[in-house]
Amino acid sequence: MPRYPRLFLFLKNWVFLPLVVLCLPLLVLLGQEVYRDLKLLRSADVDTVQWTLSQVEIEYLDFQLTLERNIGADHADLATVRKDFDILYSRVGILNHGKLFESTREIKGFLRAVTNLQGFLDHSIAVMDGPDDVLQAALPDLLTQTDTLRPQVRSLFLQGLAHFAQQSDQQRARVFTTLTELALVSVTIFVALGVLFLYSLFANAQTQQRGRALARANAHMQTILSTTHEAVIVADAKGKVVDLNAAAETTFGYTLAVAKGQSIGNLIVPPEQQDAHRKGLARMMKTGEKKFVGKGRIRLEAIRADGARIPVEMALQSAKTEDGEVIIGFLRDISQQVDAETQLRAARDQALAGEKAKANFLAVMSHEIRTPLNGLLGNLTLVSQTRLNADQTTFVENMEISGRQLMHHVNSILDIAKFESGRTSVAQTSFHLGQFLQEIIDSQSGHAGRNQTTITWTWLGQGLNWIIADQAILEQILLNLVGNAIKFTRAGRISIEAEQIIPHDDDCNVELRIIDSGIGISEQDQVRIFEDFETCDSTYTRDSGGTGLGLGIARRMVQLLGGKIGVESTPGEGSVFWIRLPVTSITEPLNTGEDVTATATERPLSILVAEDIEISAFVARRLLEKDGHSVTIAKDGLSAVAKAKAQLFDVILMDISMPKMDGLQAVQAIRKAPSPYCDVPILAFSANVLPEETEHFRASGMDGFIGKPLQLPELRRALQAVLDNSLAISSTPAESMVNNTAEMAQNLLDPSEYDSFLGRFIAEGDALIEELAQEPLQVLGLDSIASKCHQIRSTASLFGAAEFASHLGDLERAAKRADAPTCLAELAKLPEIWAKTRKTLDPNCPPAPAAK
Amino acid sequence: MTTSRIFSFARVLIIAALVTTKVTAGATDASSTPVLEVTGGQVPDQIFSLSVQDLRDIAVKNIVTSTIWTQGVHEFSGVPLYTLLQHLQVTGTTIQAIALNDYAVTIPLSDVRIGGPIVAFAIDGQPIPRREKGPLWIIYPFDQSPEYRTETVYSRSIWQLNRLNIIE
Repeated sequence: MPRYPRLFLFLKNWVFLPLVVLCLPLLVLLGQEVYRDLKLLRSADVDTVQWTLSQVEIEYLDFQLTLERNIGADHADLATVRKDFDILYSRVGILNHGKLFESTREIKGFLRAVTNLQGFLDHSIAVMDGPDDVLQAALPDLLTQTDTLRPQVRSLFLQGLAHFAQQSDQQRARVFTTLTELALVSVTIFVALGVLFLYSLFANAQTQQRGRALARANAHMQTILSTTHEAVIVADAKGKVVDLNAAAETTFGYTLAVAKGQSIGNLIVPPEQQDAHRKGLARMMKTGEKKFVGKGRIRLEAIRADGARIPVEMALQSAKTEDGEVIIGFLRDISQQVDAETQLRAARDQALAGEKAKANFLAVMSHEIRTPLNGLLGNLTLVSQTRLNADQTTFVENMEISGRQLMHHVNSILDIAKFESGRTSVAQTSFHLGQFLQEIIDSQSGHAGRNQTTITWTWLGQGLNWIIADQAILEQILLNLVGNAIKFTRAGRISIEAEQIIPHDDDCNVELRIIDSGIGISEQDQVRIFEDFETCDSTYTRDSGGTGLGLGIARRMVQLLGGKIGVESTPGEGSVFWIRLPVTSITEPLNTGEDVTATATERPLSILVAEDIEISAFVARRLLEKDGHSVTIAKDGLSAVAKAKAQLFDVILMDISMPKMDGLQAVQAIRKAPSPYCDVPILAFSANVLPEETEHFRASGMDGFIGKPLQLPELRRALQAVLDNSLAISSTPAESMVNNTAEMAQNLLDPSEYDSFLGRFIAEGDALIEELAQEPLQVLGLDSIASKCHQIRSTASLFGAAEFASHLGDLERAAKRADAPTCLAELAKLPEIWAKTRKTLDPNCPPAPAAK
Repeated sequence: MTTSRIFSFARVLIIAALVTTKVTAGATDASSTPVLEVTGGQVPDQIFSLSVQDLRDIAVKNIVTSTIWTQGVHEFSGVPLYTLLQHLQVTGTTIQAIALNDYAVTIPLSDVRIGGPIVAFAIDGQPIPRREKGPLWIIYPFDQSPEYRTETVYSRSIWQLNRLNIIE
């Protein structure tokens, strides 16, 4: 705003300058010309000329008359004759020599006439100056001569007149031209002056208007400054106070009269900061560097006139004025704000501490409750196997139902506690979303069917197939929501809709909706159902047996995945729970169990399998031999090293947990063996699937990794990679296909072998559960628990006992971490799961022997 | 026209008579011949007759100038008109200057000041013959200032001057 109009004004003001510059010299030039012409007119030797010319003729005639009169006269007046001659002579002298007639003498006829006349006069001098009688005698002759010359004298007059008339015409014309030019330039200047005048009127009006606007703005500014609560202090470049407003007076307790001219540092800067303030000022004056000016608000402490310290928020701006640069400080007393912040922070810290305490309390309580509860439930099972009458059976069944419900609630609380303590981490795996949803539906349809409710799923719009996400957490969320839907829907429909979100909602690109035709949720309940311990209808909830934690857990899990969760519902018509998640869509991975694309390697290999668990080793041998490879088994790390040094294998599959020497030590030993034995590719062969552990394997000298239980495609690919010399650690070992493994094991082994191994596995499982039931932490110790879990887990995987294997894995990891609370929690769950697993594996097998 | 001519003729005769008287009184030198007659002023009947020598005795001033009637620059010598009137102690408002051919012109007294016109009786140190516009010629310092080069001044610059009549 300020620059542009100034430039514009400058241009407008000076646009007339060239005009004036152009016109002024022209005017001066013309003025000079006019002056010269006027001078010529004033000098006007021209007019004298006409008189002189006519006078020549008159005096000539005079002379002629005098001659005539004296011819033959008795007393001739010769003096008059001589006088008239002299007068005529004088006059002709002017024509002949006078400056006046220089130009006319250039006319030939004129010059000739003058010359003739002069000649006559000169010729006559002798007679004139001679004696009187001679003159007397010559008079008639002189008269004759004058008569002869007369026409020439006449022509002198006429020619001269014509010449001077022409000359004066020319001069008049010149004067006319000059005056016309002068008039033109004058008119131009007059017009320019007129325009200038109008413009100056306009400019003046504008200036006045601007002045009024400025005055108004000034008045506004004054009002703002005097009424604002923000203290405004203006200081010059030396830090001397120039001005301050009313708020500054009240904030700091100085009046303007007192503060004016004083150093701002002495007034409001606390003593310990005055040194820094002075240095800052000195630096600003020296280098022009302004540390705080224009850098937004900063917080610091200031001191009042009464010595009290107050926290202030300050912003500095600099401005250029006519008196040099000034610094304008805007300061706000933030004592109250700081107090409020302190209180708020204390309240938050308290709240956080309370939350933490609550979570810890919940975790400990859950463990403490679960252990005796497990004992209770186990003993109930034992009681139910004794001889009971009908009433007792009913009571025991009721007790068992109540007990299981109680266990479910405690588990929910434990989940919450785990979330709160921040121990849950996200593990990204790749899976087929459609298959995943179908599995959810399959597992829940029986449950829904008991309520006469149908359950289906579908894609809306373009579907996604393979994605990367945390399958386990997503499964838990969906089971939770679907479980809720089933719980609140009687004889209705539940459908899961999946849809891609275009455009993305933040990062979320997939929405899953669980739609039921159940009882619905009222609007005021919708806002709080995702809170912990919130239930909508206490009556119904009691009926349905909810803790009010399910949705709270779901919300936490969704948030953990970076997604959103919400509900829309009409009471009596049904509810829609939606979750939006960020998932990564991928192309179909190659290592899927279902689409086996991998084939046996091109040539048979000699393979060393280091595996201590008999059945695992057995299955591995069968698998490899089926593809034509020759297999050697080593039952521990030491014998594996010995065998690897004695014979050159194409590849070694190395279990990690083995007696005598573990897999990692064995690999290191083999790598130290002489060439070529040290260069054999070694694949880790383990059920440990955490990404950080695969990294650890690689660091120990492994070339690759195969997950346990063995998967044929993965095995084939790894072996092919060994042949192709392109081994890479697989970061996503496929452990999700456990169910297929059971089939694979059944296919590999003949029925008697299978039954034998299965019998052994069940016996081992029973033994483990029995062992773990007796104060395991004290009796066995964590290390022992971990190793036992590991052993059984491999076998469990082989037989497709996915849930059992997964819990054993959790327990093993917890034991390794020495995380006693989690261990206890997992231990408490284990018997129940084993019982379920056992039933599934062999329905004919007698139930586990009762714990003593 | 005729009457004025006759009248002027009569005046010439009177002057001639006067001159003759002076000559007969013993003045033989040309410079002592009365050439200028001054009349008027406070005493109407008083007539001053002055010769070139008389004029030269009052004061001599030189004006170097060109004129429109001559060629080139000449040095004119003469008595300043101002000094002449002061010397004769005549005052008035206007001077009527009359020439041999009865050409008459009025010169306002404002022209008569120091540095103004002279009554020249010599050109380039030589007396001015009647045939060359002498013997007396009122010369303004034409070259000195353009204000002397005007029609009026040219008309006042009368040659063959023989009378000055100061009108009150």
